[in-house]
Amino acid sequence: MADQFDIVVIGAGHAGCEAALAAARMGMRTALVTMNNDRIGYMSCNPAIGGQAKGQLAREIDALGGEMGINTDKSALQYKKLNGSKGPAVRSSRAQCDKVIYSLRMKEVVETQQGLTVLQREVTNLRVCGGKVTGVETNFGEVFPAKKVVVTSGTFMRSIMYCGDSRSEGGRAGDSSANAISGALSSLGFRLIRLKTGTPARLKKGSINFSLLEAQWGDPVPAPFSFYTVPDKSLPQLPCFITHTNQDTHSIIAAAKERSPLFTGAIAGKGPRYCPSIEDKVFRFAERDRHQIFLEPESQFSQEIYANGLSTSLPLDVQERFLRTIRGLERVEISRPGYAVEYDAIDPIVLRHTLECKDVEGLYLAGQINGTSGYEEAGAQGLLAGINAALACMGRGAFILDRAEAYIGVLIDDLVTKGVDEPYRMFTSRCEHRLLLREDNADQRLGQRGRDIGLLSDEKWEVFQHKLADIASLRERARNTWITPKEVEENPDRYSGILVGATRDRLSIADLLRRSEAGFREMGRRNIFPWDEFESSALAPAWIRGFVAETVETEIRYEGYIQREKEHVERLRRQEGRAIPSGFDFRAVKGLSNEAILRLSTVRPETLGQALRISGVTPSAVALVHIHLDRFSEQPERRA
Amino acid sequence: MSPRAYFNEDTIAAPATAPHVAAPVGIIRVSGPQAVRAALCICVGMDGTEFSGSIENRRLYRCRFLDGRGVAFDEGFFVVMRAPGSFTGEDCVELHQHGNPILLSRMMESLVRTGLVRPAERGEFSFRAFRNGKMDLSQAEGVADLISSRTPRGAELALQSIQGCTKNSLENLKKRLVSALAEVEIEIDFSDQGLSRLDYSLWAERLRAWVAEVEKIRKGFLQSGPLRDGFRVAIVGAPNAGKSTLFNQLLGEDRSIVSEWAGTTRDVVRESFLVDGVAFSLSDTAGIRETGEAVEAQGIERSLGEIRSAHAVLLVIDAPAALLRGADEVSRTLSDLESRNFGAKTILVFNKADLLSEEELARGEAVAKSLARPLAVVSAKENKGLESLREQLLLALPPGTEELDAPRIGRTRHCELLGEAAERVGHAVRKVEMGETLPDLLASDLRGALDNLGQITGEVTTDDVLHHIFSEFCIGK
Repeated sequence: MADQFDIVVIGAGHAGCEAALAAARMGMRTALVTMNNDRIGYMSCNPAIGGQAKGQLAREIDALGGEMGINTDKSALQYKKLNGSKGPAVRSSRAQCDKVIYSLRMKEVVETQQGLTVLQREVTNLRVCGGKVTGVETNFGEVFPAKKVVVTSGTFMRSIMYCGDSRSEGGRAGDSSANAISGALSSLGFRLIRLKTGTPARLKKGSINFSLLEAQWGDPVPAPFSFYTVPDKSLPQLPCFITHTNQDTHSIIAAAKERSPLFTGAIAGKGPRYCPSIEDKVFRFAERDRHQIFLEPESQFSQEIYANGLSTSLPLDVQERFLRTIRGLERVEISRPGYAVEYDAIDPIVLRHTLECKDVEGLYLAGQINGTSGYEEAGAQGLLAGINAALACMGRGAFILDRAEAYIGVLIDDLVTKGVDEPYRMFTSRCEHRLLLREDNADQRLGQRGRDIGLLSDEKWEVFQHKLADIASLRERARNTWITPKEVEENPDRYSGILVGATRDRLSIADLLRRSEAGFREMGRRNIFPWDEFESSALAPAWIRGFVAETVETEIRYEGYIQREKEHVERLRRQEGRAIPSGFDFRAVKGLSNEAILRLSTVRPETLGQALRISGVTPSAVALVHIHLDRFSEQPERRA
Repeated sequence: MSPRAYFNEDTIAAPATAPHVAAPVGIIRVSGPQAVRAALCICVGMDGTEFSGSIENRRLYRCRFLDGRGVAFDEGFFVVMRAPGSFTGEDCVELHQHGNPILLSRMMESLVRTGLVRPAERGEFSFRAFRNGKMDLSQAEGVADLISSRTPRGAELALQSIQGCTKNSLENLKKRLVSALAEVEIEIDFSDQGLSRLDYSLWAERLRAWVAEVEKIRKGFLQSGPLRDGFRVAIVGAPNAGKSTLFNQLLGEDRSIVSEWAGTTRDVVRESFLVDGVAFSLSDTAGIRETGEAVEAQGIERSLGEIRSAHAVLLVIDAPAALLRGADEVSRTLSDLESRNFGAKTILVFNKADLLSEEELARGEAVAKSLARPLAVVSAKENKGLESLREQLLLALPPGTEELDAPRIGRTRHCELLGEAAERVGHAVRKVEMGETLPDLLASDLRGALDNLGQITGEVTTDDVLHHIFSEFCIGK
């Protein structure tokens, strides 16, 4: 009989690490079981965190007390803010990371976390008794009893890798697949679906002619991913490089079509439409004469370069030939071939918003097993699953974020409501209230929630409180610092580009913010706003001030839009609020069509709002459920 | 009303024709699982024998109607429409009898005494139709309009809505908005993929056309308003100018078609009358008591709302008194009235003409001419000159009826929501014109507009909307 755990997490990828850390930090005796201790928090695909919509997810994980943001800051080789010109709501941060440091540091964090035991094992079976999970069995014949089990198996369940005709078992080049766990889930009644993803070749740095390529450096003033922890500036900052495919590249790929397992039918699993392989792109977008390639450094300890945009499962000789048609890659050598991987996943429609299975109490699923792709999507689910498993152990209420609260809320609601039939990736357009869910205010949205569940340490909490005070103070200053017409008239240079023409009325700094693109710092440099005075009175550490200024500027500039979205959220919340009891029998609702009954019974929505988001369920159908619930809920009163 | 009251399997009944007005035919509608059984309890053949064997669907049966003691109190027809091929989607029976209010209530009484039927709640029939998938929300609202429309044109508009016109044109508007939204979303979520940039001026151009179309639909609706509810005419004037008398005289023998406005909480009496087949809805702010001090101010305050929404305003002037005080005062009153920029036509009504001499009359006409306003010289008391007033009213009808051929929305709420949607899309267009092309803000406007459209077809339904809609129905329709 082995150790007894409150929570066992299966898999130590980006989901598993967040789940295990959250559970352990909340005081649970936790085990993190992985098939390979050297692959903890491993970046199996591109060496970067963040990007459109993913940056928001990473910030939210950090705001709640997760590890991804800090780990990114500890390993960042370059920070870049994307979508700077697309508006305040959709600015997203991306960091190129040193994948070796990323993984090693995450390994250190989980290994040194109190209450967390890291075990190199393969889980071969799940123990379930009376619809309730009781523990796991390993390939060494051990049984670990556990109150809750979180499965974060990534791409490893019954996974097969393809590169041309070459076909091998494994979830990642060099690592084996996990087959027994698939069978275990299957025998518990879960229907497994088959998905596919892919990764490009890694190139030898010395064989690339960088002098022909456009370098892309990071932002001069990097904005760290973590709200609460001082960023580590010891790493060298490195550039990425941009190049493009061309007609020659496309001809080679087109000619090799019948050698791609994607087209021969060898791969049945569905791949992501938004992240297609290069052969997919060439066939589906034949009219495009080139595709952009982004060359990213993998690590300062490695001579390998990641070729973003060239994910492929074509045979190695074809990969080499088409790569060498690309500018700068004329003499390139491949260190690792690109490949596609096909794996088992579970349609997340079987989950509650807590990520617990509806039909197996205590069993949680998170990450790619739920049909998502991406480190950030995985990390976010892992965190929520870990939190909820821990809360359930303690007998505390569920932790659910709604769609107006966080991208994480949108992500999970989409998964459990709409299900998945191709790998799911986060986009900002999936989110209804982007102006409220910005990167810069993730901590303001979620800091209190993180504190309430016990994931924000006192140190983090103090930094956060100071930041809030600074925001309030800066907002006040913006509203109460005035510029007179005389001052503008006498100092035309100072206001050039900020104010057009003379002004008749006095203006506040807030007015100026609304009228120009200049922010507090710029106005400080021009002696329009006493930025230095604010800085000297600020409570939070200096590296946070960029966030503070950005938040106040955005909230003042887009006040009208933000207000509208808030009103909309209020209206939706009134509707969302109505809970549908678990085990509710939709067949009892008079007037529902058979199709509506089928869909509602499959998803088993937890609220009316969720019911409304199920595809194929009409508002009329939801209105009927609502009416039924009204009657249902007041029956006891009638009897009284 | 709580929706819970609607949720049951009872068999319900209610008059389908106006219950309190005598008419040649009166119809009671019964819906629910027991409808046929209940009908056969009270309907017997003309020879007094019970109906036996199966009753054919959708066939009129001549019959006598029995009261609770088995005594025939009326005769007529009944027709059975079985589920799901009926208005409510349930078994339905219609009982056609003589349209006497007393007979209608005896029929209801008789039905209820069978123990199989209860009187319907307000809106319950339509609710069942909605519940059984016979209509969507916008169609359901159309039924409410059909019921409450006061003119043939109003009924036509409502019918269009029922037939799904509203839904189809909204779907089209929505599709175009969704595609425009998608174009900005691409700019945001795929900006790193080196795709070609969006041409914002072309984008705005398409949306401008969208807004113009929505405005056309709204205009059509606003102009069709009078056709549905009657052209609104407000009577204003100083105390004792004779407003109330004029009000009563204008209604004259047409009072039989009075609308159901009376009894509302408004402090304004409103009645309808016809001129050459055109319905006018006359509001009499004189309904407010004119005794005591400060009455005039109060009267004007209350009538302001009426004046604002009127298509024409009758400014009633005590002619003898006005001539005594001079043309300037009339002019002042008029400009005071019109300064509020109502856009309604003002018709000067010189009342108490019976007290004027020929010479005074001529002077009065000269005053009206100098003010360039149509004039009607009447004596409300003696019922003289009203013909010319009616003619002036017809001349005051708003122009632009050609737009009426294509109105596609049948309801004020739709009109308001479309207005909001147009405003938000217009906002985005203006931003682009000013060179501000932040895609996330443009998207925010378009998403707001889409949400407005969704509220019309019921895709974004809230309790409020549902409750509001169903409480607006009259029962039995």
